[in-house]
Amino acid sequence: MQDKLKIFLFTGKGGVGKSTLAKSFSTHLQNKNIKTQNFSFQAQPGDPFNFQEIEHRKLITKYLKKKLKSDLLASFIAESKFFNAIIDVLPNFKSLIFLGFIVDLFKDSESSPQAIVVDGPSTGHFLSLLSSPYQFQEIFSIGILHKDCKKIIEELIKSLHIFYVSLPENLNLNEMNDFSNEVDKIGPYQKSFIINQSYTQYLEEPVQTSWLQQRLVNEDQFFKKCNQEVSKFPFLPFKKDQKLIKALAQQEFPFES
Amino acid sequence: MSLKTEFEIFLGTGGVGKTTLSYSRASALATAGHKVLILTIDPSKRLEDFINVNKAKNLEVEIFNPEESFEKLLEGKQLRPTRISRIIMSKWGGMTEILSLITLSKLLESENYDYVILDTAPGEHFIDFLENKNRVVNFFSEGVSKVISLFNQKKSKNIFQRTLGQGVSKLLNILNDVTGETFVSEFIETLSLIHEFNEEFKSAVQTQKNYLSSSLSKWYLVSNAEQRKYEETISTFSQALKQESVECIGVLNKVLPQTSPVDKDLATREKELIEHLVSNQIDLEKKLLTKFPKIIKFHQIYSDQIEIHVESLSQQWINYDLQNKH
Repeated sequence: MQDKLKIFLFTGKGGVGKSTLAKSFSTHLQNKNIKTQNFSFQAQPGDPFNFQEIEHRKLITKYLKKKLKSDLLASFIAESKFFNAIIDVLPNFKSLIFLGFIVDLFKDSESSPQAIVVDGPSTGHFLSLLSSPYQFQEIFSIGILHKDCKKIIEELIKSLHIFYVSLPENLNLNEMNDFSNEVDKIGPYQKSFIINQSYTQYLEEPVQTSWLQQRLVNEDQFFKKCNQEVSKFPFLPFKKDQKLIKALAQQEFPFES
Repeated sequence: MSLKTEFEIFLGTGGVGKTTLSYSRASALATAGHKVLILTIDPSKRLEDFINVNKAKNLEVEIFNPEESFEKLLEGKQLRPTRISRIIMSKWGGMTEILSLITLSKLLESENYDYVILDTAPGEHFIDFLENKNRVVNFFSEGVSKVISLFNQKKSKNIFQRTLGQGVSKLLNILNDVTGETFVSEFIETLSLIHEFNEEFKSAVQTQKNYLSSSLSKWYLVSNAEQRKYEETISTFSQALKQESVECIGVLNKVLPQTSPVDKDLATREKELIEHLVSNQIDLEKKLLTKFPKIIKFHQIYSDQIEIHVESLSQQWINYDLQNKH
């Protein structure tokens, strides 16, 4: 872990606790003295956990500057109608640039983090993100971008770890399996599943409230039917985000260090 | 296409029960004798799980597939896809929302429905699309058309156009280094191909303007009573919907069976958990009431059978319609 940079990407449906878990995980790593850099697709201004917002346009100009070795040419292209038409027609181009940017963080020697934590987009858009270097490798059949796509894919396969977050409800089972299959179709990526807000992991003794009891029974069935190996995270009744994030940072996150 | 068709559009982030709720809505309307179309744009395609659940005979279920719908467009004009068009029109290619409106307008041309239920893509993606509906129009008039015309004008004698033309060729030389030589010509070819469907794209935008944003449409923002941090989402959605001047209804799904009083004799953790859920639900309901003139509540269903969810929710919809008549 010390000299090998890892990229951790959190995804799942909206409302499953992706952002909270990404922040908990970042805290978890920092508690182990691992230097992290954090990004978020849903960053809020003034976020105390330092998750940076991803500014795609800026990243695109930055990328062009680096590749063309000229600020003038880069701005000329970035502002041109034609180039903007490309970005509009190929919405996933922004995703590609983001992945390229993240992979490049490897190379900035001294200030480089040991881990990158990304609070990623929800399931469908995550799959668009992950498939973007493959799509563009095909679109740009030769040239600098084609080579870069290849590099991005190679780096991601080595260093990306996907955390898929779900809730313990039976109706989510198919979706989890679909997600797993779709990722496998894209490439051989490391991934693990976190089942968040589990009541059975929080409540200790048998409960008296009948509807809650039914929930627990359903949850048990969910875990029995699960095809994937999953980590169970408890439901914690904390109102304050900070408190919840710190408490969840104590959990065992499923990844190889 | 009937002018009396009523549209009901379901919005919300993933995991709130959007597909289940919209399917049971469609099912309730169809059971009452209406001719109903339900179209899902959600790429996670959860509607597949429902297709044969309590299906009334006048209920038509359509699962939107971007590849198929683009292929149909091409067939109609006997055109062949380009390598790039195949990629951008694919499932994860990012053109889903626009293509889904084309599919919808074709369906509306072919059949008269009493109700059309739309199960939208999760999250704010659909909102982005709503806010950028002019993007499609701009794309054709400003983006693609201009690029294409620039290339056709290379030989023009007009000094202004010639300068533009030179700008483009300089740009192309640089781009060739970055993207590879074949890309630029293939990309232009793809733009020209998409440009063939100018009218279809524009009429899809018109469909949205005429029907989805008309007084005959209802927009439901679905929230889940258990979900933390949903307040922000509610604000974002209601802000976007305000600009549409359509009827908006807040939906509070998965409401707890009982909220008060919490039994004092319960074990600590059980009591804490229930109190937390109750207060979360109360906060969310308050928030919905500040943003929406009307809200509907649906009870949490403690079953792992899809059939039971659909049956119970359909019944709750029927009750809602009955109450609303009076």
